[in-house]
Amino acid sequence: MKIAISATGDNWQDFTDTRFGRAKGFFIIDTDTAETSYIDNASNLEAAHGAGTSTSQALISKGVEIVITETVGPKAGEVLKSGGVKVFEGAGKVTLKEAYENYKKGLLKEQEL
Amino acid sequence: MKEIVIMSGKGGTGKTTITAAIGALAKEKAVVADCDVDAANLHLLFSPKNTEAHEFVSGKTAVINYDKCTDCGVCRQKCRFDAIDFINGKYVIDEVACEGCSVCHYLCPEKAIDMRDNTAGKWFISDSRFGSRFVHAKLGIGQENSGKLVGKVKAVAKEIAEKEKIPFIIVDGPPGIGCPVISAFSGATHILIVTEASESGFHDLKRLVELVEYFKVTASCIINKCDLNNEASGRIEKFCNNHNINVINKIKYQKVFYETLQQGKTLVESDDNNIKEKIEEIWNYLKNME
Amino acid sequence: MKIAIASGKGGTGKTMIATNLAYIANLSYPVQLYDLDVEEPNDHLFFSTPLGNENDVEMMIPVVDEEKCTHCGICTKVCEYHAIITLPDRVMVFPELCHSCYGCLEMCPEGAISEGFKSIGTISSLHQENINLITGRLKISESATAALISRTKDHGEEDNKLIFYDSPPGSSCPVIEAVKDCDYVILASEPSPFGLHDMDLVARTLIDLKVPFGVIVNKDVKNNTLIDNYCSENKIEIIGRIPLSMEIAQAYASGGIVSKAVDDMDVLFKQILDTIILRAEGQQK
Repeated sequence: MKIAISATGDNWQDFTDTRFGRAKGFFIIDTDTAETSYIDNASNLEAAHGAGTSTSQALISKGVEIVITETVGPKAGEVLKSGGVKVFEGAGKVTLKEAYENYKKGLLKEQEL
Repeated sequence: MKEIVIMSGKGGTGKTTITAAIGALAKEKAVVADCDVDAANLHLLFSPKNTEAHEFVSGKTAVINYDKCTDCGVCRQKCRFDAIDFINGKYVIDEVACEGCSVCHYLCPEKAIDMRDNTAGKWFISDSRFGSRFVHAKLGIGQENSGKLVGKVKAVAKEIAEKEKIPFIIVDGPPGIGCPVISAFSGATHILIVTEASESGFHDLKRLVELVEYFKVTASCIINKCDLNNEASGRIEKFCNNHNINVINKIKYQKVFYETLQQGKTLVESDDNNIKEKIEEIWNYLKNME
Repeated sequence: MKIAIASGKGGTGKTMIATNLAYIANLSYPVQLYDLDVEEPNDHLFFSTPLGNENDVEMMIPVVDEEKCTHCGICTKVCEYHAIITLPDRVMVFPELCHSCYGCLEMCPEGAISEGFKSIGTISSLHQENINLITGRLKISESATAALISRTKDHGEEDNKLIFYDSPPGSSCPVIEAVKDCDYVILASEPSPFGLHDMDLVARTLIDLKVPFGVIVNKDVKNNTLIDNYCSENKIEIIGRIPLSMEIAQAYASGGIVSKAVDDMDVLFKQILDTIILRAEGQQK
C-alpha cells in the first residue's frame, strides 16, 4: 500500500509541509516494499486555481491510498474520496518520521471527506 | 501566530487608512501585507526601504510563430475570448484579451503557436518606517486578478512571520467579493470589516458577510463615517449583532482622515487624541482576541 | 453614445456620478444605465423602483459521457485551470474553475464531452421615468467577473441615445472589459495621495487602450492641486469638479440623488453632461 505525506523534503528527517494542494512535494512510503520515494509538486505550487484537485489526481494516478497532511480542502476531498483515498489530518509541523509514527500509533484523526 | 485580514466590500470606507494606523501601532509585532494588488496604497504611508523585488508569473500568453503560420485561421475561429485578430493580412494575438487557455496552441495544425509564461506583476518585501516587515505587490495593468498574487503576498508574509517569530500578520484586503477576496480569506484567523454608514456600504457589507459565513471565520466590524447616516448605522449594527459580528468601534466622519493622509501620516501620528484612542482600542481588541 | 465611468480607487464617486448624469440626461431623453460593478452593484439603491426581470447568466461547462470516455486524460492535460480531473474510473468537473475555453471538448479523441451550463450570476433591470437600469450581479464564490460584465453589456437594446457604464474600480481585467469600445471614459478621482496614485494606474491603462477620457475631481477642496498638477503635466482634461461637502455625502449615504437633494448640483451635473457629450461626439466623427 502506498502512503503519501505532504513534505518539504525527501528524507525521513525533513519536515512535513502543512499545505496539501500547494505542498512542495510528497514523501511516498510503500508499505509492501518498505521503499520510499518523493514526488515534486512544483507545478501545483504555482497554480492559480485548482491546486488541490490537481494534486489529488496526481497522487491517485500514482496509486496512493492514504494521505497524511494537515487538512485538505473540500474540492480536493471530493477527488480523493472518488479515488478511494483516505486522509489522516492534523499531522502538524513535525519530521516525516514523527508524522508516520503518529499515524501508525493512531494519533491522527481520519478526515471526513 | 494570528492573521487578521481587513476587508470592506465597498471601496472608500477607510479600510487602508485604518489598516495603516493599526500597522503603525503594531510596529515590529506584525508583518503587514498589502493584498489590494490592483490598486495598492499602503506603501504611500509606509515608506518602504531595503526593498527586494520579485517577478510574478501567472498564466500564459499565446505567441504565433510566423515562420510556421499558414494563415489557416483555425486559431481565430476557435478562440473563445476574441483574442486573435486578423490585421494587415496576418493573425495577431491581442495580449490583453488572451486568457492563456492554450486551445489555439493545441489546435493549430502547423504547431505554430507557443504558450509563453506571462509576467503579470511584481511583488516586494520591504521594511516599513514603523519597524515592521512589509510585503506588497503590484498587478500589471489589464491583468487577470485571479487571486494568485494575493495568495503569493500572504504566503510570503506567513513565511516571514514563521521564520522571524512575529506574532501577527495584518493584511490590507482587496475590495469586492471575487477571487482575490476569496484568496485573502484562506488562512485568516480573523476578519476585520471596515464599513461605512451608507446604503451602499450596508449593501456591500451583506455580500461580504455571506462570504465570511461561507468560510466559517470569526469577524468584527468598525462602522466608519457613522454619523453620515444614523439610520444606516443603526441597521448595520443590528445586522452585525444578528450575525455574531462584534462592532468594535464607531468612528465619525472627520477631517483628520483626509488631513493626515495629505501629510503622508497615519491616523496615530496626528494630534487628534480622540482618533488615536479609537485606533488603540481597535488594536487592543484584535491583539487580545482568543 | 457609450460613456463609461471608471476610477482607480474605490469610493471616489463613480456610482454617484453615473446615477446623477443618468438622472440629468433622462430629463431630456431615454437613457440606459449599466451597473457593471458586478461584485458589489449599488446603482439600484438610488431608485425607488425595485429591480426585476431577473435572468440567470450561464457559461459553458463540460459534461462527460462516461460510456464514451476511455479515461485517457487528455482533457486534464489540456486544461490550464484544473477544472477537469481524470481519475482511473471517472472524470470530475469543477464548474467554478472552468473558464469555458472549450479546450477539453475540442481535444477529446472520443467525442465524449458535450456542453453543459453553470450559472455565474444574474442580470436584472428596472425602468424608472426615462431610465433603464441593467444590473449584473456575480454569484458569490464565482470567478467570472469579466465574463459577466461582457454579458451584462450585451443585454438590452442598443438604440438608446445615451448609454452609461458604471464600471468596477481598479485597472485589471474587469475594468478593461467595461471600458473597451466606449466613446468616452470619465475618470473619477479624489485629491488625496491614494486617489492620485490609483488614478494614475487607470489613466495609463486608458492611454494604452487609446480610449478618450477626462477627469472629474470629486471631493474637491480649494487649494488642493494634487489632481490638477497631474492632469496638466499629462495633458489630461478636467471636465468637472464636485466639491467636498457634508451635504452631498449625507444625501448619497441615504440613497438619494444628489442633483435633486442638494442646491446647484443639478446645474453642475448638467454642465458636466454637456461637456461629455461634446467630447464624445467629437470622437465619434
